[in-house]
Amino acid sequence: MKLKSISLLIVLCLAGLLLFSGCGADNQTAPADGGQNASDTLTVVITADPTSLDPSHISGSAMGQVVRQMYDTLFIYDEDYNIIPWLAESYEYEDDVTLVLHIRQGVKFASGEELKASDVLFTIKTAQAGTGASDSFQKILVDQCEIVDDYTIKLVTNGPVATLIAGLQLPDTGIMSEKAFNECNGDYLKLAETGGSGPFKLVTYTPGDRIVMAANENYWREGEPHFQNLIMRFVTDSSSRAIEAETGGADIVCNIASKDIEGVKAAEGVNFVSATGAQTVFLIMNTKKAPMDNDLVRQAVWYAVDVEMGVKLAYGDFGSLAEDWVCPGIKGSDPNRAAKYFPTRDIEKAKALLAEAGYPDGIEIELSVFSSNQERKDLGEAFQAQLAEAGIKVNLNVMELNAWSDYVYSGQADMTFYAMTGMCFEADRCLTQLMPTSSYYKVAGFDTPEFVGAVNNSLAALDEAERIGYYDEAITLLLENHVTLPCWHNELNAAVKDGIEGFTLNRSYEHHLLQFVYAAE
Amino acid sequence: MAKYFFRRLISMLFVLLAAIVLVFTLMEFAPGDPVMTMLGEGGTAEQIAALREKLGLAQPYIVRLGSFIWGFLHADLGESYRSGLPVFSEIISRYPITLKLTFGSVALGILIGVPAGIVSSVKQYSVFDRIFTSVSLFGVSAPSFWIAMLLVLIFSVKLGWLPPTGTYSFEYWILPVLTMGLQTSASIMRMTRSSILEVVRQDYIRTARAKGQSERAIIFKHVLPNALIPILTVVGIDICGFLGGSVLVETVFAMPGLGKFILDCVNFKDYPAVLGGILWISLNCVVITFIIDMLYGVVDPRIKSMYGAKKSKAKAIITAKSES
Repeated sequence: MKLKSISLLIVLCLAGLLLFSGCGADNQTAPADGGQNASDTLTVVITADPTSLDPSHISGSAMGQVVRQMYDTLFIYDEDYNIIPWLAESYEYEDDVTLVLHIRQGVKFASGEELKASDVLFTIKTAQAGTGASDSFQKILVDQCEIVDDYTIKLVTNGPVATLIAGLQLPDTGIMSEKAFNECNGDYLKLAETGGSGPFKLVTYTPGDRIVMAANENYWREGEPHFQNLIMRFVTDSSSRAIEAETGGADIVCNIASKDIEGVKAAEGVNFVSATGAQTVFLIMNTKKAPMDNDLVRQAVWYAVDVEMGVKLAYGDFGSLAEDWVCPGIKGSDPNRAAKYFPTRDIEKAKALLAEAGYPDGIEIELSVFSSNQERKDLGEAFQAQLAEAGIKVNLNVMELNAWSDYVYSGQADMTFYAMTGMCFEADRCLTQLMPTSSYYKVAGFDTPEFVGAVNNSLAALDEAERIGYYDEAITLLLENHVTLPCWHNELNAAVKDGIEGFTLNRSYEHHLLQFVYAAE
Repeated sequence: MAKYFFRRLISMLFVLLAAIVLVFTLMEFAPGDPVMTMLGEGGTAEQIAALREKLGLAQPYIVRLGSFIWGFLHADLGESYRSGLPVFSEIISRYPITLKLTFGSVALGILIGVPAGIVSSVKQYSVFDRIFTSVSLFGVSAPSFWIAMLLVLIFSVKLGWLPPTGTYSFEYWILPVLTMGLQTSASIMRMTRSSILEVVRQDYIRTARAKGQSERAIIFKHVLPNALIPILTVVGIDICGFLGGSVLVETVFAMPGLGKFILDCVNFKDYPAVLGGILWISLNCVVITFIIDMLYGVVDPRIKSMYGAKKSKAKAIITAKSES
């Protein structure tokens, strides 16, 4: 009996090990050569699981990166961030609210069906019927749109929409096949196998792990994509991503964390590429909450901080010190703005402003940051120390992300660090987040008629020069009223294996176009 | 046994119900808004209201709790806010990873921990004992993510022998199983050692020695079976813990397991997925505990004889009644 019980234990152990030894028998395909890449497969590591492949509801850049490979958009940005027609061959405005799109002939979905104007309208209608449709799609009045012929469609908007075309290059505006959608009955995994217009189509999606795609043999651009297979792996841990890059486990590893950059740069056989992104981190002051509702107090903070020193301490060489309100190159940026409006540290002036505001003995305020962003915590600590010199005692309120969101979005925070992204490569998406119509409005609570008017005018100005003028007006108001202090521009980067060419970082929404990537001869 | 089984089954349902209410309430009052997370940048007030209505979040807490329990009783855990897929399928797609990691690690832990514990106790205060005790203390104390990173640096980066992340073939599993297995083996080794040391001091072991039995026979026939109960308890606790997910190990090795899934869902405030995941884990723990309880009867003759005695007594009563 006793020997039986020991035997039982051994059997249980062996059963466990047998189970473990069966680990290789997954339903997944192992990367070729046990982790090395065959010449026809491109392996890309990204930071997160897309969680859904619904092309009209993109939440987060990781999802955009994945979905964009399967669904082409009507427009794209070229390397110089000029809009170029893509699925749309050309376009013209009939009037301020009517955009006529001429759809490229001969474009086929993965199913082999030809893409027609009706598919474009169907995609817009489907997105509007769901939740989280893109801004551009939301502004289209589908009932008034007109399909002129198979390759021409008139899109009518609810007013002039300045960044309509810029918005139609974002991954949440990818065009899908009406026929495939109806056949798939709302199953986005099936749809991605046949209903996409992009260079790749779905083979398998293993949630939390990876997505395997194959080249769309019906793709309209001859010779693309250059790889027959695309594997996108989701590695959330930044150290693990760096190790993947250093060991050559993937061809492209996106988003190397600042602490890992030196190691990746030093690794053999890896090229490190980087570019300024489209995101700026601001110190935002809540103009609706005392004492920050007093411009003199905001000014005191403005002059008491040393942004350059804080950014150096927090971010080191990663990204760059904010040199404008939006990242350089984005429409609405102005290289002379920093010299005009960005503060130079002046402790005495800060103290005088505090005294003038009625706080001669100093003041106590709060700065909220969320715990999972170490850099912003470090920046907060740096500002805390700097502000103390001017008699401003800062209580650093470090919160869990969800708690921080609740707190800040409900207007309870005095100050916070907040990032805004010009994903259309224009200042519009940053400015609209501060508007009273946005769910993020209470972060700053800035709603002077001049500001609201300037932003609204910018959103409707189809003329680029006029629009940029309104952007400038709105940004100037934010700076003159000391509401948003730009601190840091983010950096996009990737580790690219030797022999992999044609990879370009897409600053707009990080939806890097992998169809252009090829293996060097 | 049948009565015992049904009693456990009913208590299991109460545990699950308590878990639902507790987790649902915690999620309800935890900060964060899934709607804001889902809509991302630029969500308008109208969109927020519409989505809240669509997800049923506009209803009162008690109505939503009731409807979740009703769904659960009908084997419907709802749909994930993040993916829009049924929660059950989301869990099932990740479960094999967690299951393999758990049983691989526990098996490795037993294979290392039990022999090491035996040697350590039999050769108490010897060099082996000191080495095993020190190593196990290190194993118990060292954080799993640290061991994981250390193993990756040695075997993946420096030596290049094993892949650092993924779950695609056998070699991908070696480092994660080793990370968790080493930790488990440490706790099993310590428990085996102390348990054996306690049993070897019993009178019946002294008697066995007096009868001239070999030391090997004494250890394997008399000591180890009687020392197994605490070891089984540790194994059961470890299995429950690992099935609940080893978030750090899954994160470091980029394994799409259940623990990491639930953590991501908590951050997203994906109520149905979190509730479904925790219910699944609760169910697993209850089942594992039940199996361990049953195994106590198998490995420990005293427990078995207790049930056997009850059964014999019942049989005797029935026989006596029928004879009368």
